[in-house]
Amino acid sequence: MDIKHYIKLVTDPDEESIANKLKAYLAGKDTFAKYFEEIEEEGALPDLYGKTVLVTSDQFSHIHKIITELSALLEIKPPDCFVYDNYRYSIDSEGLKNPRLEISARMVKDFTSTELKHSIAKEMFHIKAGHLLYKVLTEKMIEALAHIPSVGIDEHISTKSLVDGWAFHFRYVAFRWFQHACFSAENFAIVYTGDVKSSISATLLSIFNERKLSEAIKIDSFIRQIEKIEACIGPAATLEKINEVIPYGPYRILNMLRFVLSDNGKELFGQIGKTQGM
Amino acid sequence: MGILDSIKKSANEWVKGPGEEKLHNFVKGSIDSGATWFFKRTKDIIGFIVKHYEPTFSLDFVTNEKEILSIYERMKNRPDTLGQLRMLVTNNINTIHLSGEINDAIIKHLAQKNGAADEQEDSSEEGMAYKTPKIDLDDFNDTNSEYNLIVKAVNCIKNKAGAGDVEFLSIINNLEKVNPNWEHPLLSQYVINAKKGKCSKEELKKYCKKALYSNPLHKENLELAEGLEGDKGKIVYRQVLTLL
Repeated sequence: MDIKHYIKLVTDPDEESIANKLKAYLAGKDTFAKYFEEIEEEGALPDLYGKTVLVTSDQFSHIHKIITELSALLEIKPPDCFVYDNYRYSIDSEGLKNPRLEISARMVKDFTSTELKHSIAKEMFHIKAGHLLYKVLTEKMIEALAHIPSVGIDEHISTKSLVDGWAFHFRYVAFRWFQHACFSAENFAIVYTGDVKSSISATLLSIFNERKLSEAIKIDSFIRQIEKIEACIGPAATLEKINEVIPYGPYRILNMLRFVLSDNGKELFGQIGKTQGM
Repeated sequence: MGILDSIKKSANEWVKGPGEEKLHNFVKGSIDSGATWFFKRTKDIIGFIVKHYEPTFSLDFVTNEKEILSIYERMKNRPDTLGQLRMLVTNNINTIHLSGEINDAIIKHLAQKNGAADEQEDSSEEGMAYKTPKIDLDDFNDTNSEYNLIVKAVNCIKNKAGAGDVEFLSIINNLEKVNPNWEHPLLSQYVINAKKGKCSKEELKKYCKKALYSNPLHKENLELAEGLEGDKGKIVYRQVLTLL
């Protein structure tokens, strides 16, 4: 089975339709991408090389090995990975021209090998699936929207209210898209590890940043918190829920479980990468 | 009196005869007015967004009677969410009776919309305005629509006709014809109970899958599904069972 087929099977069923909606909102795509590559991405490099540690075959070699294996599987150029000091368990994929990983030293130190595999696989899936471009364009669009000057239309309405309304719709679609992109990436990661417990543990650790707390969680009770989240139906609560870019933890765990129990999930579970001799 | 008038009045009183207590009242009064204004303004903005941009929310997981009743009380006057509300009350046998009231409310609002009051908006919760319900009328009127079949099936369970009952299983068969991919947090479990030992392995697997979609950590269903799988599929169920 080739990687394109794997990607198709793990991709959240709603991701593509929401991505198409998001694409309809995007403007200035080439300019923003160029700006990001030439200014922000290039500008970040000195600090990365000067203030963080680059993962190589002789520095954090276990991370290097995971990245090398996943790059071969995903058929992408191995991204640079930088280890930086942070009190959180965090990992991110950044960059367009040369996508890279940024991982906190605390995560490298405390995560088990399989938990690291899950976390790195998730981010490398974002790179492979082209999610980074839409993430960057969304961020740039939100920044740009705040700088559109306001002109009065009549005594009651200015262009600001029109732009604000449009921006609300745009953010709503963009955040929903990212939530589903996140689900796809986690679907890939859990079948890649072939270890439900470790994948869930990696996810909980990245949310709560504390192993004892994560281990104290009873997964079925945690998932049942969704009922409480959904019962928050007032207008203010609804808007707050919409403003979440990353899905709430209980939804992430539920999504992974639903996926591994689905036909696609069962088919791929622990099988991805095996043919590559990994 | 507006916020500026109120502050001006307090300030004038203080200018006429300064004193610590008057200053105290002036500042506290200003904060009071400001807080009231800020609260109202925030609610106005949220109300504006909800009214014009209709953010959606999901109620797929709410199955608890108390929670459903609380949501029902808050949403029954919001025409825009009546469609979701009518599905929500099917999630529990003790709230299914409300589906009739919700249908009446929907008919009332649709009649209003079709009448002269096309532009009329319904104001309700916290003084906010909501639009008319979004209902697929064909689905609403069709007694064999997916929704109406779900209501019938839940009523069957409520009337103690549940597991193994011929009428219940006949409704489920119709539901399968209307939408083989139907999902319902309450029904899928009852179907398993009704079908266990009376249907093929493949059919039982299908309903197990539906039930686990709603509740992936249901121990008995996981064990049942594990027994129905080949070696490859068993691994996943075994691993998920270790989470319990």
